[in-house]
Amino acid sequence: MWPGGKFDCESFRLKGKNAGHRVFDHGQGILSNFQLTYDGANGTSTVEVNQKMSDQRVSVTPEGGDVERAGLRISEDWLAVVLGGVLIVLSLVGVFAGTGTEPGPVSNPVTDYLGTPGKWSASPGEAFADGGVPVVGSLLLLFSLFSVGTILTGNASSRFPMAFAAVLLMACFVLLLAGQKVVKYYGLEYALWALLLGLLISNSVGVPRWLRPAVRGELFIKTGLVLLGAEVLFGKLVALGLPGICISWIVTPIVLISTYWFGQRVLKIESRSLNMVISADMSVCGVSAAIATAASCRAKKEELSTAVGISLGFTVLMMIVMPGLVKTLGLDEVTGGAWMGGTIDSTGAVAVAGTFLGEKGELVATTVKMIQNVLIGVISFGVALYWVSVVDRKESEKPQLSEVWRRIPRFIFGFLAASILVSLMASSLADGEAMAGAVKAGTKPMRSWCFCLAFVCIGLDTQFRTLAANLRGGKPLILYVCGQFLNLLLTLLMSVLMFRILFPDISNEL
Amino acid sequence: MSSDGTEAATAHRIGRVSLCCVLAVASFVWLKVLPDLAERPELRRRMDELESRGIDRTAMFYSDHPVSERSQQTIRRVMERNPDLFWRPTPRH
Repeated sequence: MWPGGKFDCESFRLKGKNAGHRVFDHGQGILSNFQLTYDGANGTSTVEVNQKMSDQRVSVTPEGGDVERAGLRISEDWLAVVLGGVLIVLSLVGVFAGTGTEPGPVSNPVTDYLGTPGKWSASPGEAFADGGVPVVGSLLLLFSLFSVGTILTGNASSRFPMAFAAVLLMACFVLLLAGQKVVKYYGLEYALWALLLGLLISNSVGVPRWLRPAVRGELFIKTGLVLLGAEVLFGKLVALGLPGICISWIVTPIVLISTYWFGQRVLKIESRSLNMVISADMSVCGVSAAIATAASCRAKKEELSTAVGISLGFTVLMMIVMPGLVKTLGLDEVTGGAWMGGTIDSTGAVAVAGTFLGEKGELVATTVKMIQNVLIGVISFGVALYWVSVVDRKESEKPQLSEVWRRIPRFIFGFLAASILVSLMASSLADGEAMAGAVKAGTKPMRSWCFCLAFVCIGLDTQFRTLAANLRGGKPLILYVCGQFLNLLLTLLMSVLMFRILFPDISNEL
Repeated sequence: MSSDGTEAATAHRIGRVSLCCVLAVASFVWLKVLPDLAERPELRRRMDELESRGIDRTAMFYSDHPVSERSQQTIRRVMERNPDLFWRPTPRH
């Protein structure tokens, strides 16, 4: 609610882009010392006014779309595309500079200066066995890139750098915690620790005011997704021929759509975005799919946290139970591997469960999961399209292409462009596969940093009571369990059809 | 100080103490318990085995662990040997 009274303002303007007019009834004018935070997930903007006359927080809800400020050149979505694009170009330049024109091994010298803390067993110092240059390099690069990028484009105030430095150090601490070998062995990934650290701070001492400017979970997620695009090579979709296509391209979308439908029509889950994020992380590939679809359907931060929490819990359970189930049902390694690859959420857990079946099981399980990973691009684009053309559309509006174009999250184009660029490079250049791998080696650590930053911020921005509210009535859990049951059933049928009935020779040839 | 102010100060103090306690417990777990666990022969053997196979249990994406690359290479070799194997159904009767 905007406080009463007229503000003496001249350079501050807030408007709902999609609405085409200002959202404020009044209040336009100068706010000499203010900070604007736009929460795309909630569709709300918070303006902190630090003036004696109005030292209070006010919130407004635009009628959809981005928030513009006078002098702002690009929105947060485009900023994510630019930041992700700069990092991809940097890696590309590294590959072309490192490889040279003479035939020889492909290398990327950029990777010597970029990385995350390594694994450690007895002492955290082991994580910096390489002298810590890649970690320091990454921190410096991210700090300068995000600080300059956000301030120059009007996406953050001058208080951003100091706050961002603190959030970066938190992310570094989280990656260090997650790098302990026993922690890694039990599959407890950094997303969990990042969320917990953020939640711990926000629910104990609270987020200090000076840290607020850098709590930008969405920006980090979108930048991370643009970087992830460079790892999504469309050629991998056919890596397992027809069986891979049928298991990943046919079963996965069917399970996703059915689970979403079940959540809406049967369970009547209030939040469509929560319903979609849980459906996607369960049917596609866990945390990475949850992140991508959450950004596509503008899910709330706590909805993403809920979906990730459920997925991580069930992943551990399924990783233990599934190999035993495969053996109990008397499935061969290949069929069992395909079944596990298509149903266990987490990519890492699939590989581990595959080892219990044997070499062939591991091979097929990891390949099926890889194809599902690549499907993220198509799924997130589809979800974004569905959201802007169906969910966000008012009943009175006719679906128009121009309206869809105006509403679709722009970072999706960065994600797809990165994916298409690296896929083309892999398929058309002589050493394309190796070069794409080298580009990926440069962008991968940056993607991990971005996602880790995002989860720290989500934790910092979440209160336990909002998480509890999402789980109230147990509907998200019921949705996950019912969807996973359908997933298990359909993937089993398709795996048996493919590897035991239509392609029985594959098992012998592998 | 008003009662609201006193309550807020108390809540903040409790929050600070809670944060310190959790951090102390976490430090003990990460610096003592987990390193000790990592030295247990059975767990160490299993961790080394996964590492040697290029498997990272915490992998979020296929590119996070080397095992995916190895699997692709194996399947590509089989496909080169028998191009129809993965594309033409050969049901047994």
